[in-house]
Amino acid sequence: MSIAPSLSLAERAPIYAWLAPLFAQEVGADLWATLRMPGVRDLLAGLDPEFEPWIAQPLSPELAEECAAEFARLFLLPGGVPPFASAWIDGNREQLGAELSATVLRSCEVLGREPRRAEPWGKLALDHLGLLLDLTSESSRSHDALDREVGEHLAAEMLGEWLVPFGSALSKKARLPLYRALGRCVEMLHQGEPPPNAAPTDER
Amino acid sequence: MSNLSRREFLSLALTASAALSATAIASSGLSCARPTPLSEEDRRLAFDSLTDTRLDYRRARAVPTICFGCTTHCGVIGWVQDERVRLIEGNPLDPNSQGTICSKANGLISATYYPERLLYPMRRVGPRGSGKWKRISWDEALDEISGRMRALRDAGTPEQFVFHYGRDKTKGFSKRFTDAFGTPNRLNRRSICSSNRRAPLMSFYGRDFEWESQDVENTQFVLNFGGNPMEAYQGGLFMRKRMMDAKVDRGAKLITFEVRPSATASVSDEYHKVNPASDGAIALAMANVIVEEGLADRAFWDRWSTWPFDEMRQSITRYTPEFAERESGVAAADIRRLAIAFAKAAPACCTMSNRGSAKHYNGVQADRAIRMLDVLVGNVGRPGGFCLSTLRMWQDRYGQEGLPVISPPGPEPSKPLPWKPGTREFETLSAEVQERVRAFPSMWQEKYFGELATPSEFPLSWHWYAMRVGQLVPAYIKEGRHKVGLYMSYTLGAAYGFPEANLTREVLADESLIPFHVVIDISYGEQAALADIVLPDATALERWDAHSTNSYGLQPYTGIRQPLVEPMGEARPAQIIWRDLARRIGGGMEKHFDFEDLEDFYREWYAELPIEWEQFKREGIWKDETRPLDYALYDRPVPDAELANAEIDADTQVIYALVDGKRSNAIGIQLDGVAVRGFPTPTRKIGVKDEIFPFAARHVGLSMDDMNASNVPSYGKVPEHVDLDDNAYILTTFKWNVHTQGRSANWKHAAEIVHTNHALIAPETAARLGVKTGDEIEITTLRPKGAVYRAGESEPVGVLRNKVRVVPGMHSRVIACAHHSGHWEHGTVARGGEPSPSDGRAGMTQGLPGQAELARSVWWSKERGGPGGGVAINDVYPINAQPLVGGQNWFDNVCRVRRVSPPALDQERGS
Repeated sequence: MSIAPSLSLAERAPIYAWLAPLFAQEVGADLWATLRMPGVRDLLAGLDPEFEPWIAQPLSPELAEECAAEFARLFLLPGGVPPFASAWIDGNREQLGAELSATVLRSCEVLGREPRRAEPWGKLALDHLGLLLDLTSESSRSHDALDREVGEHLAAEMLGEWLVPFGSALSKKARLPLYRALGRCVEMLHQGEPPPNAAPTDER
Repeated sequence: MSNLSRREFLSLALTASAALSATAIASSGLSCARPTPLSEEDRRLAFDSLTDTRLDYRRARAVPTICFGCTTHCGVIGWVQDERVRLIEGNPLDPNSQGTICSKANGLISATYYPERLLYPMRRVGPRGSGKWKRISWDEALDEISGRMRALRDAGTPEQFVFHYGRDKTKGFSKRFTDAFGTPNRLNRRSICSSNRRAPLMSFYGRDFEWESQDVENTQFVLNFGGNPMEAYQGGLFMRKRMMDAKVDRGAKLITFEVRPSATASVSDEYHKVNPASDGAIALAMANVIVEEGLADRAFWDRWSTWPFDEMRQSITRYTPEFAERESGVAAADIRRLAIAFAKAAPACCTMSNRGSAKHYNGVQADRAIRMLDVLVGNVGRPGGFCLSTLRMWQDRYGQEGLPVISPPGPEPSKPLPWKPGTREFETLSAEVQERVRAFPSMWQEKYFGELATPSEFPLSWHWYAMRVGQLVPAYIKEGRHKVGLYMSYTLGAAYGFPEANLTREVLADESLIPFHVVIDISYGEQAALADIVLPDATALERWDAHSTNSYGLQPYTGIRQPLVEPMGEARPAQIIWRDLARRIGGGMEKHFDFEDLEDFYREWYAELPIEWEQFKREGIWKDETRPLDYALYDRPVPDAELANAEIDADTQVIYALVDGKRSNAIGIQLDGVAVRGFPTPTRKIGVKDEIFPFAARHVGLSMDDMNASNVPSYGKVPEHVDLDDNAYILTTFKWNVHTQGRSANWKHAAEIVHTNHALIAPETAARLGVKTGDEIEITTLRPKGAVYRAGESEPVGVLRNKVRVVPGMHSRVIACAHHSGHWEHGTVARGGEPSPSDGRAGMTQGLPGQAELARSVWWSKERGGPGGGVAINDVYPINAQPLVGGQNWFDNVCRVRRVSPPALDQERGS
């Protein structure tokens, strides 16, 4: 099989859709099942040598609690790896991501979508990684040209710059094989990212 | 770490992509279709503006609300665009703030959108304090907490539920919760903050104050004893603009007595360096000068003061300016000159004081002496003088009449019953405490609720109202003075900010002392780290609150805090948390929380306002411009209708309302044949001489020789300041103008400006120690003396090291450190780039998210060559509760200081 230097957005879209909830909620039975899917399992096993024996065990209540504690440590509490674009993207931003959030909100308007409020995540911040992955995935798979342009914009502006350091930090900070592998996955998925072919310009 | 090559990774990723495409994982579920999609034209417009995201006032929504950046509570306007709060400005309708704000207002935006904010209910899954948590649902959290609380109540021990708050501005909502549950243990941090200042105000004027409200706008002369309104004073912002206007427009003079060149000292016409805790001596000497110069307003004094003039004159003759010079270091000539200038400016003159004068062993007496100056020159309630505005919520005993009633919707629960001899609760007390309480007069037995809420050794902490002695609570729990079943900390930072905070942490970590600990807060701080369950509170930008407070404009007003945006994550307003807990606990307490929507609740609260609810929300403030200002409220006549059913005491001339033919509340005083309101004190006069102090001293066994037992303003040296040797210093603390104690260290907006707390020392101190700015010193604090906790123990309280900053103008015996730095929780910004505790000391690149904005923006981190996030200093401050009132004597601490770097010459030589 011939491998391109990077995956296209269309190729990344299913991966984004799968990754998105892993940053918004703890691993339960449903997510555990997706982690055991053949292609996914192989990918994660390739990214962390301890993943395969780890995923081979049943998701016991004890293991689920361990996963939940790791999720909280990494993504919910101070000192973790905050899954918010505003925590990572540099620049002369106003107030911790106000402008990023505004872009996401308008992207939602174009796409005819809105953040879904549900347990356990409640009202997600608009620059939350899970939501960005979700919207990018949704838009890039749309048949509507404007939707796809939004997807390309989100991929370039919201998922480009920060996911390599985010993934790197996650892989270093995580104690469970799952999150180490996820960190590596996010990092490598966006390493050497070519310039987006449809990045918005000031003229548009 | 795998050795996967990029090519191998892409191959595996492509396979995964294909596999996922073939499954049902088409959507993550984190977004959903909008119920009403935009038109094609609007979609295109939205697309075109994807990157045009700057604040645009034409599109943004302006929402007035009340700031909660500190306890001053200014009316503000938040600009909301794209569902985000983008900017906060002042609300010009607020008669207090007059449209001004400080930097803390916009700090609230940082607090709301802080990437490390607490957003979900969490339950610990490791040992308490281990930092191991998991997210739980609100149902799980509330079920567990309510189950434990119900068990306490069902066992007949509701007092074992202890509620301790740091910042509660719900105007009685949390009290409704604790009352409905049946516990009297609703504790606060008043003693940490202002009780030593409030007690003299209560004694003098009998009001349940938030703060006094000097008419700075019209004054000509201000004597400021350690107040710092340019930085940190409660109500400081209101005073700041008025003071500067008065100075610039009318040449008003501001004279400041301080130990360091504070922001207020720096804009004062005169700044006098004073020896710590000597303000009372200066004030009494000034009183002496005013009397001897014949400048006292004898008519006002005789009419309103409880202290006969000649007796007062005789009493203060010993406080000469020369005596005060010896005590304070301020030249006698200056004291004399300033006293005369102050009195000659009357009534357009006023005193001001705060922690600088009050947070000492002799602080209550110092503030009584300061307050006496106003009475002496008769400026009380006069234009430009020391004024007392109509009280918040307008239902107290002092203020304009005929204002609309604003009160929370009922029904209000009944209050817990006092722990009188013979009750079950009384039997839980130690024999020593029982004996003391038995000897209390009935007025105190009616107010006694155990040692946490009403510590019997500090009756003046609860004689007037519930000020408590919060800093002693951990020690009392450790000593077994009160059994705790469930401890609920609400916006409380005791584990970081109380004196001897290490003791607080020790107690909170001990499950035998605190079987269950719940924290409600907007941020995961040191207190939350020692909880069993933490619950995320909504920020001030996401919540409702009623607002009413003292008015520097001397104009009664009210305001509404309303949500600008919905709470993030699963955060909820505390009122909703307590409502839902009450409903789960049941047993009748739920009927006090019979509302679904908080807006409905507050709409009903304000139903009597002569303004439509929607207009009130649009303007944020209501005031009646047609009313007179709050001058001389004490001279208001008692209405004939009230006099018709009243009785005048023949001895005191106090007028009492009659209920069923029996005397009830005092409603005024007959003076010169006229029935006027007077002041809401027992005498209806100003309690310059107040027997409550010796009375309380006798009941707790405090020596009658102790200055705090005096019935009149007096001065005595702080016991541990007597005979200080040349190597002793006084460690004092202060607040920076951009911070609100320890609560704002994680507000990036605030931390960018101030993020550390070097030890400020005078040039001559630096020379003596052989250090310069940037060098390090070691401070060892000693136990206080006098009638306080663990007094006189020889073992040091603690040791800290800090860098010094040499500041000209500092008092040479004072070391000043701001107290809100050096956090080890609250996230990256608060920690100044240091790793979180769970990361060990591996360094920032390990502990922080790599090249993140959050880390990069912490440009003051040590790793980036900056000073770091400062030094936690509160562990080394001894618990030091002032006798009777219990305010923490923050500024008395005697310490030893030695140079750490550069090393002393003998150390460099290896000797």
